[in-house]
Amino acid sequence: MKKVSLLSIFCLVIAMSFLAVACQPAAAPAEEAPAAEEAAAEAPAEEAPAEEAPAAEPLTFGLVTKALNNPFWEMMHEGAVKVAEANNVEIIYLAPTKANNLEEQTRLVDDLIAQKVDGIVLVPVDSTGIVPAIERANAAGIPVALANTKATGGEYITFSAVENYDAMSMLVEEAVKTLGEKGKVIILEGTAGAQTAIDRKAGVDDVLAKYPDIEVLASQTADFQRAQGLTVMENLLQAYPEIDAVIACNDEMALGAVEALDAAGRLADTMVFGFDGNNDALKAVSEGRMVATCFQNPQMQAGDAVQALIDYIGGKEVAERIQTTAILVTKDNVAEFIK
Amino acid sequence: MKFTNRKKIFRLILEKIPTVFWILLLMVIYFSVSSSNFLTLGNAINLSRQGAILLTLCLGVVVVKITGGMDLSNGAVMSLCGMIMAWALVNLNVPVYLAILISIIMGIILGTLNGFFVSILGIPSFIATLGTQGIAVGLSLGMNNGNVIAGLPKVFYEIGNGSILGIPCPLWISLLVFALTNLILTQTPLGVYIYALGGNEEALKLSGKPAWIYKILAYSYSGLTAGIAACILTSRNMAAQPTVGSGMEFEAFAGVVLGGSFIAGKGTAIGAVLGALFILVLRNGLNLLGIPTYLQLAIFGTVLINAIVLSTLVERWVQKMRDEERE
Repeated sequence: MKKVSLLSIFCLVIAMSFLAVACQPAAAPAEEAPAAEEAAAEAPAEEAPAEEAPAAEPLTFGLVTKALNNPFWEMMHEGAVKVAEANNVEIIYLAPTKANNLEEQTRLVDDLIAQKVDGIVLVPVDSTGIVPAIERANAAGIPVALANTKATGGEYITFSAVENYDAMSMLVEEAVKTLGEKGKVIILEGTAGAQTAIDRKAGVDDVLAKYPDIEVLASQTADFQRAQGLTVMENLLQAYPEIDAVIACNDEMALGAVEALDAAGRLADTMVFGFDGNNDALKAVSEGRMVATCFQNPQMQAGDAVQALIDYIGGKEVAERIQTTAILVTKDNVAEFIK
Repeated sequence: MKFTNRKKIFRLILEKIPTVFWILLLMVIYFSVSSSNFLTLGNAINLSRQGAILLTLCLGVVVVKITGGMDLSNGAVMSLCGMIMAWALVNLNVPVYLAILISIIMGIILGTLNGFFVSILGIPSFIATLGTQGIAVGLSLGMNNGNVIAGLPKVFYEIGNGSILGIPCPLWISLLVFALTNLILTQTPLGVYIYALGGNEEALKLSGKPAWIYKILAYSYSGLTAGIAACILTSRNMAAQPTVGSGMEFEAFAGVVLGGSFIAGKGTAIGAVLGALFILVLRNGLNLLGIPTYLQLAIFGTVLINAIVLSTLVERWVQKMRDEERE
């Protein structure tokens, strides 16, 4: 009896202390003593940039991306925070715990609206399905800036991204050129149903249709994930003894394919192409493990969107479409991108 | 004498009100103090709109859970129902009420399929519903080549976003489902048999009752709620996306277990509602506090496990007190 009640109190204390500890850095007006200390330590750092720009009152923006399991979104987060910090803006970063889940992303946007943030930078999981959420933000008077993926409706102040279709076409043209316009190719598609996956796949299909000597052995989805890319590629290696190139619709899948090819000792015979320009992929290109990738500058995409929100709130004119230039990265120019 | 009376009241309170309620209360107080935006009308409406989907799902899962099974398919079934409903609305121009009916019937069919696998073929529910999940995911992705179906009629928007008497429509829907679930579980013979299935299936069979039918019906009911949830979900997004419900089944299952359905034969409709609310409030509160999503997952897991441990301990404690009183 005594043991049981003790144990239950113990559990409760653990749960609550965990909550309390975890909440401290984010909750500004913290009520506990240790939190107050922390807040005091943070305060001068926050005030310093405010003095430099006395006119601007601190703003809070929400940033919502598509998933947590891809470093690409973390790069967007970095880019957003960089611009935000320079302008004394706080960024609340949220992403669905279930990768590319529309329902959860809708919830996150609604929560940001309830929180009355000053602006939202949004990367829609789905261009059409996110529209009601954007409309709710419009109704609440919160400006929305889109990055990376467009939406088909609702009012947004700007859309900052590379054109996925064009950039993928550029990459595939490069792949075709390297192959000498003939060869056996495998395509790794993104998450079925995801907008970027659809756009990139269309880019691949339209370019390859122009070259009849290029044979597409298989086109399969690997969910934009490295582990999936590895498994799918391992299976395909069993089925096809001769593969000239793998065109993956993002770098994570490309890197998974590289691992599979390497393990099978066939990396020398097969060229791998990726898309995104992740740090790992850039490294792979410089080492010659991948032939090319397409750098789509996620930091700039998010940073531009944050800047657009700041300008919009400041009453400045904002361009409806901010074109981030996609750059083809090969062994020749990879050194410029590696930090 | 007076002391034992007080003890009895204490036991009754612990017994009648699920432990998760107290934790929920504690959580609401905590979030209200830490975030000025938590206890507002705007957030309450927000919560009831986004929460109705999980609530409705939980109310179906609890019935399956009471029989001792689990339903891994309802997230995917929900997606498929939404896809079929949207397809019918856009391509066949069916009226909205008929589309809703189609979604619900589709849910019932898939639920019954689950029930058939589990009850007639004797496949463990975990595997059977996992299989149905695969079928549903595949079909909904294949229906429109992985694309969303959009362009739904304007009237349809009201289901997920409108209000009746100032209360959001999704909340009305989940209240109705709650009333129905509660009615079935507490007022009908079917409810008795469902509890009996979880408590002692052999005894039910030996008493000459067709236990297999009740088992199928439990899964059909879970499918029905998935079909209803699909209507809310599709209307909220004004589009049907093939993977929208993926992962919801685990949230629903966690909610049901939190609500007191730890073992077969246990669980109530109100418990399922409280469990679902627990998950929703925790997520919503952590978002409002601006906690990074990585940390949210860790906090979520910790609180979830602690809540379940606490609930089980209280349960055992109540049992002990009851035994003492009997002596």
